[in-house]
Amino acid sequence: MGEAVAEVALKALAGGLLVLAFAAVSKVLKPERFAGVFSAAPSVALGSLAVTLVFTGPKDLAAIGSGMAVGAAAFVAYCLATTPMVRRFGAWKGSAGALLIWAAVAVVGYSVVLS
Amino acid sequence: MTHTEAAQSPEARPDDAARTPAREWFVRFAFGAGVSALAGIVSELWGPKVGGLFLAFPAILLASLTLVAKDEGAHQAREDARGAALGATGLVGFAVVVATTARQWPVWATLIIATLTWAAISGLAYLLTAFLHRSRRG
Repeated sequence: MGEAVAEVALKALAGGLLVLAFAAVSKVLKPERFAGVFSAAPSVALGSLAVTLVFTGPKDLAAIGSGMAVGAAAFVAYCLATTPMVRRFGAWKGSAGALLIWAAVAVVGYSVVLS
Repeated sequence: MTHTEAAQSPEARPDDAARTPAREWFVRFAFGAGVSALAGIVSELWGPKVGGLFLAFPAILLASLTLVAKDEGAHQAREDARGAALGATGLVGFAVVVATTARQWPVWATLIIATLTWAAISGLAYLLTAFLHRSRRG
């Protein structure tokens, strides 16, 4: 139990720091569309995978990658839905509401591809 | 954002990062740490495949869009989302490389090639959209 808590805490720290690193890159780049590419960088994935390797080794990596592929396809759908939704509902409501699109695509994709 | 701006070649403006308020860095760190913790907890409870889904949960983009809209307006936030769609396409490539090579390759090689795959797909997708904008303009 203690080891699981430590693993989650280290994943949070590593993910947060890598998000900051990619955000710093994004901040100095123009135009905004190019900077936006780094909003979908594998920052959380790299941090989490590195910590997973330390705690459990490489045995789960392929399974994590297959789940992430479905999540990333849902991320593409989220981005495509967000642009019109931000125009209609504003940045916060539009981007938060589009999370339903991510969830729907992720659930369907998981059911069809991975289960 | 005009077609002209979208077609610009990428450039770096280091001063922009220095002007970013500390609160904004904290928000980004908090969202990144939160998503990472969520993915870790989900992985512990329901296994690595379901946990992997959440490594591509777009909470960080949600934070980014909100901050960009507040500082630079809704037009720029939509451009950020369009760019993120290109990055997310690269993220699919990253995940496929991890899923298909993790059992055969050394871990360091898997992660380096996966990251380069993300950069290559995202970069090419950006250059392609910029080229299409320039063609439409010309």
